[in-house]
Formats: sequence, structure tokens, C-alpha cells
Amino acid sequence: MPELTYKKHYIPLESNPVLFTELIHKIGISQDLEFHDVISIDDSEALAFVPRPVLALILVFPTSQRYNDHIAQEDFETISKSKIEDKPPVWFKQTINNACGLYAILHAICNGLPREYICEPSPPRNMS
Amino acid sequence: MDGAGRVEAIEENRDLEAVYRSVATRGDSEVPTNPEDEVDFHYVCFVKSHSSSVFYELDGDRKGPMNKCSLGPEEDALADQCLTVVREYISRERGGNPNFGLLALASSK
Repeated sequence: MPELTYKKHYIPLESNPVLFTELIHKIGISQDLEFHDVISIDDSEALAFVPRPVLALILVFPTSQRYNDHIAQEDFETISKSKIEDKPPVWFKQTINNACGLYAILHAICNGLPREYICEPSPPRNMS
Repeated sequence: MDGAGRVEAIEENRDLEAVYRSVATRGDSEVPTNPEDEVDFHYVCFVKSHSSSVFYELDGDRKGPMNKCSLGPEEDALADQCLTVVREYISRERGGNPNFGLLALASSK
């Protein structure tokens, strides 16, 4: 993990679609949306179980030295060249340690089609 | 709200913090007793822009939003090019830790 100064520390969120769904409903997202487990991305039968359209993905993965080396390289090479549109996406700098699950969820619901499911008023509406 | 405002909005929002804690403590996994302990997994979000065809990788630990690919008007986050992005993450760890998980935000109906 990059060396960052975190102002706060949260306990990490388990990668569980039921918990993720409960969280978004509690912070103001319509009950019409929920998170689904994607068992396999290479098995078309497994993918067929996921309702379409899928509005956002959240990937959880192990961090490793290989990952840290990759993001150091990618940040150096890509960010300055990345084409960001005139209306950039809503992006939050993470300042709370171990809260990457929360930030991934906020990124998912404050961008794209999920924005249409934000109930008023709510933290996501204020931040997006 | 601008970037700095959003950062503070998350840090200072007590309701958001309370909701998060109420959910995070209910997981089946063993909960670390000390929030300051480092964890060895990370979450990133992939989402299609609401104002263009760009499919972004959004990670608060990085320098900013990352443009991963373009999507057609009818394509969603499980389009082939999106799965390719996810596979890149997995193939990078090939031979290492295979514990990946993927959650999809979609209709509940």
C-alpha cells in the first residue's frame, strides 16, 4: 500500500454483497439496486446469473509487492497522459485508513447510472 | 462540491461513519481489533462515466481517476473490454495469491 498519511482509521469492510447492499441502502440508494457476486468472469453461464445492465464493478484483490510496483509504474506513466473528459468523474482521495471498501462503494454510486438511484437528500447526493 | 470538499465530507460525516461501522462489524470474517492495523487486500471501483463513454477505474489511493477504455452507448460494465481490464488485475498476480472477488452493482429485481 502506498505510504500515505491517514487522518482516520476504519475497520475494513468484508467483501460481501449482502453487506455492501445494506450499506448503500442505508446511505440513500434506492432498493432497486443491489450488489451481486460475480463468481467467474470467464464462465458465460456464471455471468448470465448477473442482472444486466451492470452499472459498476467493485474488485477486491490481495495487495502484494507486485501490485505496489505496478501502481507506482502506472501512476508515473499514465496519470499525466490519461484523457480526462471535461466533466471528470466524481473521485474521492482516500484519507481514512482501511476504508477502501467504503470509497469503492461511494465511487460506484456517485458516478454513471447509479446516480439516478440516489434518494434525496443523502450523503451521495451532496457529494456528487 | 469540489475535490477537497468531498474529502472532508466523507471524513466528517458522522452519520456515514456510524452506518459504515454498523455494517462493517457484522461481517463473518474475524474483525481486526485495532483499526490502525494494515490489511492486505484492497478494493477498487470500475464505473462508466455519466457524461461520456469512458470506463473509469476509481481508487482513492491513486493519483486520480484512470481512463481504462471506451464503452458503446448500450454497453455496461460487464462488456468484453471491461472484463479484459479485470483480467489484467488477476493475471498480474498469476502464481501468487488467487483470492479475488468481484461485486456487480445492478438491478435487484
